[in-house]
Amino acid sequence: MKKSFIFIVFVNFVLYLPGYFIHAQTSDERANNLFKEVRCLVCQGQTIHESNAELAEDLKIIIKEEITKGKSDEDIKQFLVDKYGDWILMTPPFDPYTYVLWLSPAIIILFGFGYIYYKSRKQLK
Amino acid sequence: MPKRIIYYVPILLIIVLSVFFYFSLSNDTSKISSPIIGKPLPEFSLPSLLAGKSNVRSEELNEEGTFILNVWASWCVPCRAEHDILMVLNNLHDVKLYGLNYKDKPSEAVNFINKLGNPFKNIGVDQSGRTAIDLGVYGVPETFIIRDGKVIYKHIGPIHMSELDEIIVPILKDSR
Repeated sequence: MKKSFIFIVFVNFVLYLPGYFIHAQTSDERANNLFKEVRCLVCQGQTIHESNAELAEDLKIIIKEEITKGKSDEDIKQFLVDKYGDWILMTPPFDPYTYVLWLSPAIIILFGFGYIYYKSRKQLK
Repeated sequence: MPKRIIYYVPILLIIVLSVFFYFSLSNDTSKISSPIIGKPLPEFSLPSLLAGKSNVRSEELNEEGTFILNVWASWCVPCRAEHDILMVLNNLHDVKLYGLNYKDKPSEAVNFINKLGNPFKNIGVDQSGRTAIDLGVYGVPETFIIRDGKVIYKHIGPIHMSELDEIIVPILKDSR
Protein backbone atom coordinates (compact mmCIF):
# COMPACT_ATOMS: atom_id res chain seq x y z
CA MET A 1 0.00 0.00 0.00
CA LYS A 2 2.68 2.39 1.05
CA LYS A 3 4.88 1.30 -1.79
CA SER A 4 2.24 1.82 -4.42
CA PHE A 5 1.53 5.28 -3.01
CA ILE A 6 5.17 6.24 -3.35
CA PHE A 7 5.15 4.77 -6.82
CA ILE A 8 2.16 6.86 -7.85
CA VAL A 9 3.72 10.00 -6.43
CA PHE A 10 6.90 9.20 -8.27
CA VAL A 11 5.13 8.56 -11.57
CA ASN A 12 3.20 11.78 -11.24
CA PHE A 13 6.32 13.67 -10.45
CA VAL A 14 8.13 12.33 -13.48
CA LEU A 15 5.14 12.99 -15.72
CA TYR A 16 4.59 16.53 -14.56
CA LEU A 17 8.20 17.54 -14.27
CA PRO A 18 8.82 18.28 -17.96
CA GLY A 19 5.70 20.43 -17.95
CA TYR A 20 7.42 22.92 -15.70
CA PHE A 21 10.19 23.41 -18.18
CA ILE A 22 8.35 23.24 -21.47
CA HIS A 23 5.45 25.26 -20.11
CA ALA A 24 4.82 28.12 -22.52
CA GLN A 25 4.66 31.58 -21.07
CA THR A 26 1.22 33.08 -21.01
CA SER A 27 0.90 36.56 -22.41
CA ASP A 28 0.46 37.93 -18.90
CA GLU A 29 3.74 36.42 -17.82
CA ARG A 30 5.43 37.75 -20.92
CA ALA A 31 4.03 41.19 -20.22
CA ASN A 32 5.21 41.06 -16.62
CA ASN A 33 8.69 39.97 -17.63
CA LEU A 34 8.87 42.83 -20.11
CA PHE A 35 7.66 45.30 -17.49
CA LYS A 36 10.64 44.31 -15.38
CA GLU A 37 13.03 45.12 -18.20
CA VAL A 38 11.68 48.53 -19.08
CA ARG A 39 12.81 51.59 -17.20
CA CYS A 40 10.28 54.08 -15.96
CA LEU A 41 11.66 57.29 -17.43
CA VAL A 42 9.82 59.52 -15.01
CA CYS A 43 11.19 57.73 -11.93
CA GLN A 44 14.47 56.61 -13.40
CA GLY A 45 15.70 54.09 -10.86
CA GLN A 46 12.56 51.97 -11.18
CA THR A 47 11.15 49.64 -13.76
CA ILE A 48 7.66 50.24 -15.06
CA HIS A 49 6.70 47.06 -13.21
CA GLU A 50 7.35 48.83 -9.90
CA SER A 51 5.94 52.17 -10.93
CA ASN A 52 2.48 53.66 -10.93
CA ALA A 53 3.52 56.78 -12.82
CA GLU A 54 1.15 57.66 -15.60
CA LEU A 55 3.71 57.14 -18.33
CA ALA A 56 4.58 53.75 -16.86
CA GLU A 57 0.91 52.75 -16.93
CA ASP A 58 0.63 53.89 -20.55
CA LEU A 59 3.72 51.91 -21.52
CA LYS A 60 2.28 48.81 -19.82
CA ILE A 61 -0.89 49.14 -21.87
CA ILE A 62 1.11 49.53 -25.07
CA ILE A 63 3.28 46.50 -24.26
CA LYS A 64 0.16 44.41 -23.65
CA GLU A 65 -1.33 45.63 -26.94
CA GLU A 66 1.83 44.73 -28.83
CA ILE A 67 1.80 41.24 -27.28
CA THR A 68 -1.78 40.65 -28.37
CA LYS A 69 -0.78 41.86 -31.85
CA GLY A 70 1.63 38.93 -31.86
CA LYS A 71 4.86 40.90 -31.60
CA SER A 72 7.91 39.15 -30.13
CA ASP A 73 9.64 40.41 -26.98
CA GLU A 74 12.55 41.61 -29.11
CA ASP A 75 10.22 43.54 -31.44
CA ILE A 76 8.59 45.26 -28.49
CA LYS A 77 11.92 46.20 -26.93
CA GLN A 78 13.15 47.54 -30.26
CA PHE A 79 9.95 49.56 -30.61
CA LEU A 80 10.58 51.19 -27.22
CA VAL A 81 14.26 51.79 -27.95
CA ASP A 82 13.33 53.49 -31.24
CA LYS A 83 11.11 55.88 -29.34
CA TYR A 84 13.07 56.48 -26.17
CA GLY A 85 16.62 55.24 -26.75
CA ASP A 86 18.69 52.48 -25.12
CA TRP A 87 18.25 54.06 -21.72
CA ILE A 88 14.70 52.70 -21.51
CA LEU A 89 16.00 49.14 -21.15
CA MET A 90 17.30 48.16 -17.72
CA THR A 91 19.98 45.99 -19.34
CA PRO A 92 22.39 48.07 -21.36
CA PRO A 93 23.11 46.75 -24.88
CA PHE A 94 26.42 45.10 -25.72
CA ASP A 95 28.06 47.61 -28.04
CA PRO A 96 31.45 49.39 -28.29
CA TYR A 97 30.22 51.96 -25.82
CA THR A 98 29.56 49.33 -23.13
CA TYR A 99 32.34 46.78 -23.81
CA VAL A 100 34.25 47.89 -20.73
CA LEU A 101 31.12 47.64 -18.61
CA TRP A 102 30.26 44.11 -19.74
CA LEU A 103 33.76 42.71 -19.94
CA SER A 104 35.31 44.22 -16.81
CA PRO A 105 34.17 41.39 -14.46
CA ALA A 106 35.73 38.78 -16.75
CA ILE A 107 38.91 40.80 -17.05
CA ILE A 108 39.18 41.23 -13.28
CA ILE A 109 38.63 37.49 -12.71
CA LEU A 110 41.28 36.69 -15.32
CA PHE A 111 43.68 39.01 -13.55
CA GLY A 112 42.92 37.27 -10.27
CA PHE A 113 43.57 33.81 -11.69
CA GLY A 114 46.69 35.07 -13.38
CA TYR A 115 47.92 36.40 -10.08
CA ILE A 116 47.15 33.15 -8.23
CA TYR A 117 48.88 31.14 -10.93
CA TYR A 118 51.91 33.41 -10.80
CA LYS A 119 52.08 33.21 -7.00
CA SER A 120 51.64 29.44 -6.79
CA ARG A 121 54.33 28.87 -9.42
CA LYS A 122 56.67 30.97 -7.39
CA GLN A 123 55.96 29.08 -4.21
CA LEU A 124 56.54 25.70 -5.86
CA LYS A 125 59.99 26.84 -6.83
CA MET B 1 62.38 48.47 -7.30
CA PRO B 2 59.93 47.23 -9.98
CA LYS B 3 58.33 45.12 -7.24
CA ARG B 4 57.51 48.23 -5.25
CA ILE B 5 55.60 49.76 -8.14
CA ILE B 6 53.05 46.96 -8.02
CA TYR B 7 51.99 48.09 -4.53
CA TYR B 8 50.92 51.44 -5.93
CA VAL B 9 48.67 49.90 -8.57
CA PRO B 10 45.59 49.48 -6.32
CA ILE B 11 45.89 53.05 -5.03
CA LEU B 12 46.26 54.36 -8.55
CA LEU B 13 43.26 52.29 -9.65
CA ILE B 14 41.17 53.72 -6.83
CA ILE B 15 42.18 57.26 -7.74
CA VAL B 16 41.35 56.71 -11.42
CA LEU B 17 37.99 55.17 -10.53
CA SER B 18 37.14 57.94 -8.04
CA VAL B 19 37.83 60.60 -10.65
CA PHE B 20 35.70 58.69 -13.15
CA PHE B 21 32.83 58.26 -10.69
CA TYR B 22 33.09 61.86 -9.56
CA PHE B 23 32.56 63.12 -13.09
CA SER B 24 29.79 60.58 -13.69
CA LEU B 25 27.90 62.16 -10.80
CA SER B 26 27.35 65.34 -12.75
CA ASN B 27 26.14 63.34 -15.76
CA ASP B 28 22.51 64.29 -15.76
CA THR B 29 20.48 61.28 -16.79
CA SER B 30 17.39 63.43 -17.25
CA LYS B 31 19.01 64.89 -20.35
CA ILE B 32 18.74 61.69 -22.31
CA SER B 33 19.54 62.20 -25.95
CA SER B 34 16.43 61.32 -27.88
CA PRO B 35 16.51 58.91 -30.81
CA ILE B 36 14.03 61.17 -32.60
CA ILE B 37 16.74 63.74 -33.40
CA GLY B 38 17.51 63.67 -37.11
CA LYS B 39 14.29 61.86 -37.95
CA PRO B 40 10.96 63.20 -39.21
CA LEU B 41 8.06 63.39 -36.80
CA PRO B 42 6.23 60.06 -36.52
CA GLU B 43 2.89 60.00 -38.25
CA PHE B 44 -0.04 61.46 -36.39
CA SER B 45 -3.26 63.31 -37.04
CA LEU B 46 -4.86 64.90 -34.02
CA PRO B 47 -8.13 66.80 -33.73
CA SER B 48 -7.68 70.49 -33.05
CA LEU B 49 -8.47 72.02 -29.68
CA LEU B 50 -9.49 75.22 -31.41
CA ALA B 51 -12.97 75.44 -32.88
CA GLY B 52 -13.12 75.41 -36.67
CA LYS B 53 -9.50 74.38 -37.21
CA SER B 54 -8.45 71.31 -39.12
CA ASN B 55 -6.53 68.41 -37.63
CA VAL B 56 -2.90 68.84 -36.69
CA ARG B 57 -1.04 66.42 -38.93
CA SER B 58 2.59 65.38 -38.82
CA GLU B 59 2.95 66.01 -42.59
CA GLU B 60 2.17 69.64 -41.97
CA LEU B 61 5.08 69.93 -39.54
CA ASN B 62 7.42 67.83 -41.66
CA GLU B 63 7.22 70.31 -44.54
CA GLU B 64 10.00 72.65 -45.58
CA GLY B 65 10.75 75.34 -43.04
CA THR B 66 11.19 75.45 -39.30
CA PHE B 67 8.43 74.39 -36.95
CA ILE B 68 8.17 74.23 -33.20
CA LEU B 69 5.97 71.69 -31.47
CA ASN B 70 5.32 72.26 -27.77
CA VAL B 71 3.79 69.51 -25.63
CA TRP B 72 1.76 71.01 -22.80
CA ALA B 73 -1.22 70.49 -20.50
CA SER B 74 -3.31 72.81 -18.38
CA TRP B 75 -2.65 70.65 -15.29
CA CYS B 76 1.08 71.00 -15.71
CA VAL B 77 2.39 73.77 -13.48
CA PRO B 78 5.70 74.43 -15.24
CA CYS B 79 3.72 74.81 -18.48
CA ARG B 80 2.11 77.93 -17.06
CA ALA B 81 5.49 79.57 -16.54
CA GLU B 82 6.60 78.41 -19.94
CA HIS B 83 3.47 79.77 -21.56
CA ASP B 84 4.63 83.36 -21.05
CA ILE B 85 7.89 82.51 -22.76
CA LEU B 86 6.01 80.98 -25.69
CA MET B 87 3.92 84.15 -25.94
CA VAL B 88 7.13 86.22 -26.05
CA LEU B 89 8.61 83.88 -28.64
CA ASN B 90 5.53 84.17 -30.80
CA ASN B 91 5.37 87.96 -30.52
CA LEU B 92 9.02 88.64 -31.22
CA HIS B 93 9.74 86.08 -33.88
CA ASP B 94 8.04 84.82 -36.95
CA VAL B 95 7.72 81.19 -35.90
CA LYS B 96 5.39 78.39 -36.79
CA LEU B 97 4.56 77.32 -33.28
CA TYR B 98 2.23 74.36 -32.77
CA GLY B 99 0.89 72.88 -29.57
CA LEU B 100 0.21 69.32 -28.53
CA ASN B 101 -2.24 69.19 -25.66
CA TYR B 102 -1.26 66.14 -23.61
CA LYS B 103 -3.81 64.15 -21.55
CA ASP B 104 -5.93 67.13 -20.74
CA LYS B 105 -9.60 67.90 -20.33
CA PRO B 106 -10.52 69.89 -23.46
CA SER B 107 -12.58 72.38 -21.45
CA GLU B 108 -9.70 73.10 -19.09
CA ALA B 109 -7.25 73.35 -21.96
CA VAL B 110 -9.50 75.88 -23.69
CA ASN B 111 -9.79 77.86 -20.46
CA PHE B 112 -6.03 77.90 -20.14
CA ILE B 113 -5.63 79.30 -23.67
CA ASN B 114 -8.43 81.84 -23.25
CA LYS B 115 -6.95 83.13 -20.03
CA LEU B 116 -3.25 83.14 -20.88
CA GLY B 117 -3.37 83.74 -24.64
CA ASN B 118 -2.75 81.53 -27.62
CA PRO B 119 0.74 81.55 -29.12
CA PHE B 120 -0.02 78.47 -31.25
CA LYS B 121 -1.00 78.32 -34.92
CA ASN B 122 -2.92 75.19 -34.08
CA ILE B 123 -3.18 72.76 -31.17
CA GLY B 124 -3.55 69.01 -31.49
CA VAL B 125 -5.36 67.11 -28.77
CA ASP B 126 -3.67 63.92 -27.61
CA GLN B 127 -5.97 62.67 -24.92
CA SER B 128 -4.71 59.10 -24.78
CA GLY B 129 -1.08 60.19 -24.74
CA ARG B 130 -0.32 57.71 -27.50
CA THR B 131 1.11 60.26 -29.93
CA ALA B 132 3.29 61.63 -27.16
CA ILE B 133 4.74 58.16 -26.63
CA ASP B 134 5.46 57.89 -30.36
CA LEU B 135 7.32 61.18 -30.01
CA GLY B 136 9.31 59.81 -27.07
CA VAL B 137 7.77 62.27 -24.64
CA TYR B 138 8.03 61.30 -20.99
CA GLY B 139 6.93 64.44 -19.26
CA VAL B 140 5.39 67.77 -19.97
CA PRO B 141 6.43 70.26 -21.13
CA GLU B 142 8.67 69.15 -23.94
CA THR B 143 9.47 71.09 -27.07
CA PHE B 144 10.59 69.87 -30.48
CA ILE B 145 12.13 71.99 -33.23
CA ILE B 146 11.60 70.48 -36.67
CA ARG B 147 13.39 71.80 -39.75
CA ASP B 148 12.79 70.61 -43.30
CA GLY B 149 11.18 67.41 -42.11
CA LYS B 150 13.72 66.51 -39.45
CA VAL B 151 13.65 67.01 -35.72
CA ILE B 152 16.77 69.03 -34.94
CA TYR B 153 16.29 69.78 -31.27
CA LYS B 154 14.32 68.50 -28.32
CA HIS B 155 13.92 70.48 -25.13
CA ILE B 156 12.90 68.62 -21.99
CA GLY B 157 11.16 70.65 -19.32
CA PRO B 158 10.03 74.25 -19.49
CA ILE B 159 11.99 76.73 -21.60
CA HIS B 160 13.37 79.45 -19.36
CA MET B 161 13.87 82.98 -20.61
CA SER B 162 17.64 82.49 -20.64
CA GLU B 163 17.24 79.28 -22.63
CA LEU B 164 15.04 81.08 -25.13
CA ASP B 165 17.85 83.56 -25.77
CA GLU B 166 20.70 81.11 -25.63
CA ILE B 167 19.29 78.00 -27.29
CA ILE B 168 15.97 78.44 -29.04
CA VAL B 169 16.43 81.77 -30.80
CA PRO B 170 19.94 80.94 -32.13
CA ILE B 171 18.53 77.70 -33.61
CA LEU B 172 15.69 79.62 -35.25
CA LYS B 173 18.00 82.33 -36.59
CA ASP B 174 20.35 79.72 -37.98
CA SER B 175 17.76 78.77 -40.58
CA ARG B 176 17.73 82.13 -42.24
